[in-house]
Amino acid sequence: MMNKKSCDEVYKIQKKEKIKLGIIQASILIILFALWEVLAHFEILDQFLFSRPSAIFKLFKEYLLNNELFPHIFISVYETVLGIVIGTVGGVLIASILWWSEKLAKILDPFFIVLNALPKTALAPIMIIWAGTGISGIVVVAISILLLVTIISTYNHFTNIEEEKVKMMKSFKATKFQIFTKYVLPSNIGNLLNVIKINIGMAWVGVIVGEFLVSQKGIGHLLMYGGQIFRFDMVMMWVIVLALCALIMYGIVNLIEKFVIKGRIKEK
Amino acid sequence: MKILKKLFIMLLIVKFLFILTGCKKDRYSIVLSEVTHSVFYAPQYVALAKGYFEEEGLKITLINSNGADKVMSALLSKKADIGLMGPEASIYVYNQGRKNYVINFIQLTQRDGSFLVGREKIENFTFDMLKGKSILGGRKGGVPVMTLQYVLRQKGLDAVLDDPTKEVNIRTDVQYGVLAGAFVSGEGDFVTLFEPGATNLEKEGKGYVLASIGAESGNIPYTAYSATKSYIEKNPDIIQKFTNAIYKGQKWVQEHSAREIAELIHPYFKETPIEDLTIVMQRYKDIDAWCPTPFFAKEGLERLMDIMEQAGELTKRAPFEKIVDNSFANKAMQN
Amino acid sequence: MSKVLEFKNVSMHFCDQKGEFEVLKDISFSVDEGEIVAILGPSGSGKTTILNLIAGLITPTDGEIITYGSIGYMFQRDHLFEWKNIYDNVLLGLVLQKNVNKETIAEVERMLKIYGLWDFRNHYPSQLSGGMRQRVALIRTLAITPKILLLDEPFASLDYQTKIIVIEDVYKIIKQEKKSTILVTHDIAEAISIADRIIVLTKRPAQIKSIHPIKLSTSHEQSPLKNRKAVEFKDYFDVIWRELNDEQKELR
Repeated sequence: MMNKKSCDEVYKIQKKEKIKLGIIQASILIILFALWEVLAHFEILDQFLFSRPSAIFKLFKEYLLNNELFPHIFISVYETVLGIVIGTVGGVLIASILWWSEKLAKILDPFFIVLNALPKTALAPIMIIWAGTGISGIVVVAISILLLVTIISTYNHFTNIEEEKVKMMKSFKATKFQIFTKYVLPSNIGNLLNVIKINIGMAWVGVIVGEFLVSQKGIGHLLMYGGQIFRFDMVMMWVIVLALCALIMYGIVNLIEKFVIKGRIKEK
Repeated sequence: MKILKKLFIMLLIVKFLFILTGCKKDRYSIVLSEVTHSVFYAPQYVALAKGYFEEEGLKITLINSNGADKVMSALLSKKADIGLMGPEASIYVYNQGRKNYVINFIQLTQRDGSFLVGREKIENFTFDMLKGKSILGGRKGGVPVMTLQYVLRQKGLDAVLDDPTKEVNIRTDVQYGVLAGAFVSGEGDFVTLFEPGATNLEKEGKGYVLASIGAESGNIPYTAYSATKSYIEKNPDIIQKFTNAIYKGQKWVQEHSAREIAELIHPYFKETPIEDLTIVMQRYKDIDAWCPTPFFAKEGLERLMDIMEQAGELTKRAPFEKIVDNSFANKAMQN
Repeated sequence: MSKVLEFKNVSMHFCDQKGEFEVLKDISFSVDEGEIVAILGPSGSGKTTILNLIAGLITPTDGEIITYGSIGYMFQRDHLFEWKNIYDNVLLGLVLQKNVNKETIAEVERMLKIYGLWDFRNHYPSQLSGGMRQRVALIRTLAITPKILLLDEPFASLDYQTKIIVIEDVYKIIKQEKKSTILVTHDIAEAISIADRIIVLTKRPAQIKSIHPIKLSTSHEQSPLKNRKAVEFKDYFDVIWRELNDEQKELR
């Protein structure tokens, strides 16, 4: 009886801590925005260049009412998700092939390192000309930014498995394919989810850069357009919308992670 | 202990050097931000090449900001002293109600600098050949697209942005840097390009220059020099010296041939062979692209605002007297 | 008694940067059905290499190895998959060998029940103690009904109390299921308490220094714990300890 009670207490305390954390984070955000508003009001921050939360909020309401918000958000999110999915799946596939053939991995290693060092955003115009203007070009730019990093980090995870576990499986006469599908891949699910989290940010960079260059709709398009007509309040608003989109996507992956890891407890 | 002492002395020396180089910023060292590095601004490069700025006692640091919004930001955040860009930027800024707005004091170009390029050579090109076609115009909200639309409408064509069902479809999905590449890879029936891009395409046989948008648009202030109101109030002598130097450059351009201009400014545009540069200079001379004097005419600004209104980008017109100051131009011309 | 394993003049050397280094030199021995043979030797003497050779994971540079029957290999760490529950973990070997059917499943469930793990079959490895995890690993190994069991210091990572209990259980299981076992360990007392024969190796390149058949007066009780208290225990311990000490001394 005593033990059960104290466990409940511990649980309650943990929950309280979590709520406290959330309150602190929310407060920081509110204070920052309030500070922004005040500094802009007293012209310490140049309102023209940085805008202010009240102006941004007003603009946001306008867009919401005119139903001009979601078509742009939708297309950018669509492009980003496409980039993440194709880039991650392709990257994991390639990393798997490299794991399978050590020879191939050794041959391609220096090429990957060089390719990774290239600034992909600078090469974006070339990629778009090759892949075509429109969504295909934009998605290609997004993939280019996240593909190589995905391959390299996934490959590292695949090769950092425990050799003894492989030995154990070989003692059961396991084939290479079985070792991959039953050990290498399942043991790295957590790592792959982390890779996806990182890819979210990179995909957004690629999509925005791509939309800067070629687009009719989308968040990047509006960021560029706002700059062209000197509506920095518009630019700021879409930056905030962009941040929210990325945050939500991150949160979804976190949920998936909790669901998958549920019951699985990390190796000590 | 000895090592510590040495380190301390070194730190002092480094700090001293920093202060030295920091203090070195004297008034006559000007940061000039240009919207892009272009042969279109030949008179400025003539002034640089001929040392007209030094004659006036000015030292110019030129930075390429790649976009009018970035030039404007540089001016407003005091990273640049004088900016070279389209005056539409100063209209937008004034309309946003900013107290320390931006004032234009020299007009550099008086024509749209872009050329209509097509895939086939067309003898006796007329604008109604554009019916039912698409043109890659550049980015929405930019003056080149607005001017293109204005010119086509003047010619009686129903030119609309991003609508393939209308008579002429002006596509705004492709940005300036990628225009040529996109066109070559098959996008659009026509494209408007600045120089030397248009001539480059012709050289490679990938396109043909069919018309000059500038020739059709009439006098519009396409590029001008500007600075913030406070900067001008605090440094009228610098603005005057600057204007004098540019005026000298403008005069030189008027008095010399395309070839001579090309040879003079070639060092600033090494990627373009002198022959091509000469062709481009000639094109600009033919359409009278460069202002002979720094004087910024009112009717030009009004026409620019007509164009912006017609494109739906201007809700309020800005007063000429506020955003243009011709006093420096006038004084330069008197001498 | 039929043989289940024969080592005939087996030598093993590896190549590294410095050149060739010999691990095993001319090793010959055999193991009979149902025997538990312990291999003791100074560290680095190639004990694990012998097990890897038996399991077929590496091939000898010289000599011949003959095994009569399938091999089950158990390691110092249990290597259970953390993301699978106990039930799925014990089936792993059978799954890899594509041998999951009514009979094999029934056998696995029988072992789970007998050895007290049936109630934990839906738990995850991290919820079990070290001793229980090793027992799960043992069942996983036994599930494929190997003829020969290879144990590579499987009790080394357990604390003393747990070790005694687990050894007790494992011994019973091995004798019950009539498995021929080769155990590699550095713990002399452990070896004497369970082995029928102890092979002592020299330092590297390892040769067989001596082979001691273990006859204890407590053998019939089938309890390693009781074996430790046997009268003869101390003598065996002294002899073997001295032999190992000689080899270790030369290492220093």
